[in-house]
Amino acid sequence: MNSVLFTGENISIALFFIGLYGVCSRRNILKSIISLSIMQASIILFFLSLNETVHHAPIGKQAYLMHRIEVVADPLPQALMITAIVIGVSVTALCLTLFVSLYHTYGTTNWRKLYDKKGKEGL
Amino acid sequence: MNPIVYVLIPLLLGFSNLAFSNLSVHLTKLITLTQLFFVFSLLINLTPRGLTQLVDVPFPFGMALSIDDYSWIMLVLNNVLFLIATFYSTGKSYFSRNMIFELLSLQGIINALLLSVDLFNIYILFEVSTVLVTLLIMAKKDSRSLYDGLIYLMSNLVAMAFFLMGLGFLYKTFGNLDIHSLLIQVKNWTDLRSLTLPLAFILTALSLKSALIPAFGWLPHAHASLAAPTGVSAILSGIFVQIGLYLIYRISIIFSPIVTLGPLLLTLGYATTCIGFIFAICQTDIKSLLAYQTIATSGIILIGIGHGTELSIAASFYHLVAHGLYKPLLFLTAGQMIHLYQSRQISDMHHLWKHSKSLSLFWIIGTFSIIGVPFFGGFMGKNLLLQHWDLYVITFGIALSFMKFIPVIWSASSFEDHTQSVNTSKYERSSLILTAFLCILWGVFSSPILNQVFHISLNDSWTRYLSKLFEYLLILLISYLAHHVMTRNGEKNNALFQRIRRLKMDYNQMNVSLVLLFTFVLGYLTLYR
Repeated sequence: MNSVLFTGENISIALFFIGLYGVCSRRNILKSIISLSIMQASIILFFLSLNETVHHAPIGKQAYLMHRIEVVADPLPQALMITAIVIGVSVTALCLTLFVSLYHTYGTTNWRKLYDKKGKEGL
Repeated sequence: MNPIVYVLIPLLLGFSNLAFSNLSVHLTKLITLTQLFFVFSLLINLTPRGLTQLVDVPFPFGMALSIDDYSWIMLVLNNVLFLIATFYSTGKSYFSRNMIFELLSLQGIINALLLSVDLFNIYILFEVSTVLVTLLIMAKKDSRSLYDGLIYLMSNLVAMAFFLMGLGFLYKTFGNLDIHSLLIQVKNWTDLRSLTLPLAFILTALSLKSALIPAFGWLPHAHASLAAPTGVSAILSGIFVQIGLYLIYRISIIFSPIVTLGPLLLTLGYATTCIGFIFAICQTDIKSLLAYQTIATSGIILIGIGHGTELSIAASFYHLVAHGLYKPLLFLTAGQMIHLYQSRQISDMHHLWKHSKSLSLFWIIGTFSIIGVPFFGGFMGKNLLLQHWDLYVITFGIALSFMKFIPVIWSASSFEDHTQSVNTSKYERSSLILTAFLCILWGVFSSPILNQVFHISLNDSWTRYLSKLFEYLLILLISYLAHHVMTRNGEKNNALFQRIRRLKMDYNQMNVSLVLLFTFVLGYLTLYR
């Protein structure tokens, strides 16, 4: 039963919503960025474990051609996820850079306090 | 001509401008010439419509770019807007080599978004454009803009995570992500249950991108940011938000044979329009008012997509282009007015007619277009989209939000004069004149344009336009009286207005609103699929 429940797909969906809970509920900017990274990582896991079953490698598609390989993983999600990983790393780095600049300017890591301080400046 | 040039040439020009500093003067001219060439090449159909294969491999494995009637008109609009924004920003202190690079890259990427037929490519292009827009919002390097930039970036990244998750489910179901293959596969699809989650994820993400209710909290931060240059605000409002709507249209076309999305889109459209103009009425900041009007217009365009008929979709795109012309005109004029009065508060602005008749005229043209007065840009699209009580209610709401500008243009001379002199450069003047001219052109020649571009023929007569003109004058009069009654104790002192003005979401609330929207869309798709 555990092997049916704890598949890559199910775990990735659970991780996605854990990350979503984080961005909805955490007032700390750094924790929001970490939650966002969890969401991105969960999607990568989801793509890589699509259609996984107990007895097969992820995505069992018949390969009729070379080397007598009968069951292979679908290479397309892997290629897509390499791109998604690069994009994810870049945007996380940008978020962290902006966060550091904001912290130096306003001296807080809290969304609400930041919002209030900005409000006091009449913006 | 291969459509890839619309993507590659702006990117190459941007890189060249960064790499060769001593050529920057010549490159600026080259950039303008290239943008002009893009517009004319599209207008004379130098690039063929239909699919252009990039590699010699058939779908679903090959790559291709596609131009249809709607992507064609949006490509024209995009390149016209970037031409206007580049021209307007020329000579400004913030128009640095970095900003030119970011602007040109964004132009190329928006062109690619409109041409792409692969949903994963669309995801990548959206992510890159989000980063570029974040950098452009912070172009003036003002520390206060960091908050706006971070809010914009992170809220859009959450939406794009939804989009990618939706693509994951879609890939699991169909085994490919290219739009043409999906169109064929969906026609024979019977397992509707498998489409609920992918559609819910994708539509939620695109709704945030289009600033639909309730996921519109990021838009006032981005479009009305203090540090965002006026040209950037014009591009964001004129085309960038509308790309989300264009993709909603494409998604609805793919799934229309088996899933009815009309009631969902209509509900979101009407709610977004009403909330947009209610918030706009309460604003005292000129850029915030224009930002909320963008939300209202997104709703109007979505109503047309929701109706789903050939006429309503053509009218949606007609109105989308009209909005892409009058909103930049309003933003560019607002930028001039902010410079003139050294304030963004509408109450600080007065005597505009005395200070600058041309700015007053530009503002009036923009206002009449957004209200939808006959012979101006926004008239035909709005009249085709909204034909009953909704037309009058929405027109009244939009007119009411602009009534506060009557004292700005013609006010009594009891105010002290703190204005700066109006030093409009030739670049700014030319951009404003071109945009105003296009606004009027789009309104006066609406029937021939609808016929030629969208293949819709209307039996309109001048007498019908004149009778509509009287209706609009009546609505303007009623909204003026309503504005007078609502603000007799001073607009800033109105408690309800103050309360609505303070209703701005922080980051956590924006994400909660996204979850609410997701739940709503998922509920609809589960119950009414």
